[in-house]
Amino acid sequence: MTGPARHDLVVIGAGPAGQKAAIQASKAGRRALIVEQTAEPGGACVSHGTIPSKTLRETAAALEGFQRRSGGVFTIERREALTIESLTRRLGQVVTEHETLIADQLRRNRVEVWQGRARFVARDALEVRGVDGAVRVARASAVVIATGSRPRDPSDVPVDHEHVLDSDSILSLRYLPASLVVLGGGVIACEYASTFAALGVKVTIVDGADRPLGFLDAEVVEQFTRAFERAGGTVRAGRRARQVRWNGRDAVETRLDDGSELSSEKLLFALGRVASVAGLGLDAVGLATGPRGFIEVDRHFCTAVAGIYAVGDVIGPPSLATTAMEQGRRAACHALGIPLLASGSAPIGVYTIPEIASVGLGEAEAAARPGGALVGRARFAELARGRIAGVEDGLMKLIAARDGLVLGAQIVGESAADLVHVAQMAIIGGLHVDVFVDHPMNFPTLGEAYRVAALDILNGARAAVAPDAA
Amino acid sequence: MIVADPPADDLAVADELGRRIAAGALDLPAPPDAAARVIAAASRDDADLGRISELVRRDPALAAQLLRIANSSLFAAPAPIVSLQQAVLRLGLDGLRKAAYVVASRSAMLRVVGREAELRRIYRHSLLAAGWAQELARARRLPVEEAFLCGLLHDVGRAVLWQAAADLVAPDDVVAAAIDRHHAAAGAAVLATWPAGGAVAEVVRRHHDPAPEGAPARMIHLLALADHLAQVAPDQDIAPELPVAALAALALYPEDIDLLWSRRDAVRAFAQELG
Repeated sequence: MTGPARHDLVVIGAGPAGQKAAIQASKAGRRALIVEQTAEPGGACVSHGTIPSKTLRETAAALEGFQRRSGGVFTIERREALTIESLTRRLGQVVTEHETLIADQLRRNRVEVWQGRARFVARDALEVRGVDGAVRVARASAVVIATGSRPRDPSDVPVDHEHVLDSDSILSLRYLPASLVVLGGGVIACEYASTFAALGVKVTIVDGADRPLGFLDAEVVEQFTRAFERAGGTVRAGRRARQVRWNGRDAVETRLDDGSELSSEKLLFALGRVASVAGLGLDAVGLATGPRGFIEVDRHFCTAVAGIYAVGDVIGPPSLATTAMEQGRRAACHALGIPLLASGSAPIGVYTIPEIASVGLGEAEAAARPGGALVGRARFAELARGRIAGVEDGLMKLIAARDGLVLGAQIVGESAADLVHVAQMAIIGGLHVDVFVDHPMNFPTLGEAYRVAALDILNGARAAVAPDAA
Repeated sequence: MIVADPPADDLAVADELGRRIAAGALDLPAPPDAAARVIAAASRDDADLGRISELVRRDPALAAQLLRIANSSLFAAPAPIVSLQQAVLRLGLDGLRKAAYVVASRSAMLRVVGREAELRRIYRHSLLAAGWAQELARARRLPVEEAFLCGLLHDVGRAVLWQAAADLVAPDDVVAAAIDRHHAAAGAAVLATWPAGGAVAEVVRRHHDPAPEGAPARMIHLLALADHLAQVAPDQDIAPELPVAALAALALYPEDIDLLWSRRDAVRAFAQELG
């Protein structure tokens, strides 16, 4: 064992949350170390999460978009023996470039990186073991746990990573299956379900809840569901799988709680993830995961132990890279006493086909505020750009206070994850919906939805006021 | 037709084999027709078990091999499988592809007259490597079937080179050293001509590259590790043997290796059943 190294901040895990925590510390002139168990930084986000899944999705969305825009003039026929590998041919390159980019960024910011598995031996000390078994010790006044999450290992679903897969192994499929059952209705489940459906796979989502993506606006999710079903997908909401088995021949057989049976070539188990904390030695410092299996933190991302922070997927939902990065940055600032502006309104992007985005308050939350809320809608199919692009699904719901102050936006449709940033800036800037009417946006663009939704709010407000005035 | 002058020394033998590979002058073994057709048919989007069953039925050797594989622990048949139709159903498309590749690799590797014992040893090693590659792929969420094929076929070049070297006049150990040097390139040349063998060919070509880069790097490291594990006797301590670069690339720590190594009896049984 080599002698201890002293840093200002040690971060366990080099995913989006860990990177931003370490870079923030380094930018403030502090000595930061990342301990990462894999050879390349990036975490699950790069190896089998955000980057690979979005690369596959990009191909699927491009195919879907091309067919739609061509108005039926061109049809795309899938080649025989279409392999996942051929669809993600750019994937290796994208992943490698992303890993290089992250490594360069860490190097430029003088963040030290050790490959190894970290284990707490004291509140401020970690034992780091390399793949060759060699041990060294890292010490720091603050430690940030950013170890992410892994798919839940169900006792009743035989995940063999060949026929029954989880969200970490789904992209290791060599061939595009003819059919896929997806257990779960969360973000990962719906993203993969809609991507595979757009690629011509017969997909069935099975979820115990009344509708998938239950945390999002119901109207927005309804649009997504309609588009998914039009692509050939099926949603079996309010149903649970009672038994899953690979028949040893050619199909995964799934029996549901209503007695019906589904047969599919592959099955994706996407019912939840758990914090990756095995081997961290949390008990050595008196830390434990909460009842939901995640590390619990306060608003500064401090755990129950002073000087130990936790950020990203290891603390549970929303489990989005965007949120994780901001959490990492904020935890580092708090740990090192770096002043920080008040927390902004972080958007949510769900990369389904069509994609979904949300920022600020939803309709129900806003309506519960004193004075209630106003909601304006813009349907993409009614926008010039939407008609040009042959968009059938697409809805923006702009949420405002009674005085027109922008409180939130819920969007489903093409470019939703980009469009939502306009609403985000409006919220941060304390703007009123009038700004979207008074200041034109490019025509024809989907951004025009803001003007249409704002007018809908203003017209609604006027209509509400008019009877009283009479 | 290759006519070789007697090579002068060890290097000359290696150079001569290298030259023959570069010149495309190797006699590349094609997979048996029936196996090739099964691989192609099982890889189609609209693959049809009935049609594949018919293909298998036409080749008694392939049918016998599939029956044996269908009865192996790999497919965990609850009761002995006696009919070809049962075997095809049991194997499924993925299993049929794997089984057809086993048949093809066996035919490619055991064809050199006079080198049977050596090549049988290499073939057994390949089956073990396939078993380990499969285990490693499951542990690291890499494509299981591709890993299996890489393990199974990584040394197919050795058989080709033993045949190519038949006319070279040199001691066996000199030829063996030359084959050791060039077998990866020869294997890649073979696989590039096999149905659906392209991706595997690239991994096989680079499986002794200690620091591979680019997209297939993880699979190359995985194969290197599987190759090592397949050479370790079951009662041996494996830790000192393993390539650290591969362990680092796959993030395999001592505890992960211990877990994998605890599966050694199952992997050996699997290889034995296939072989």
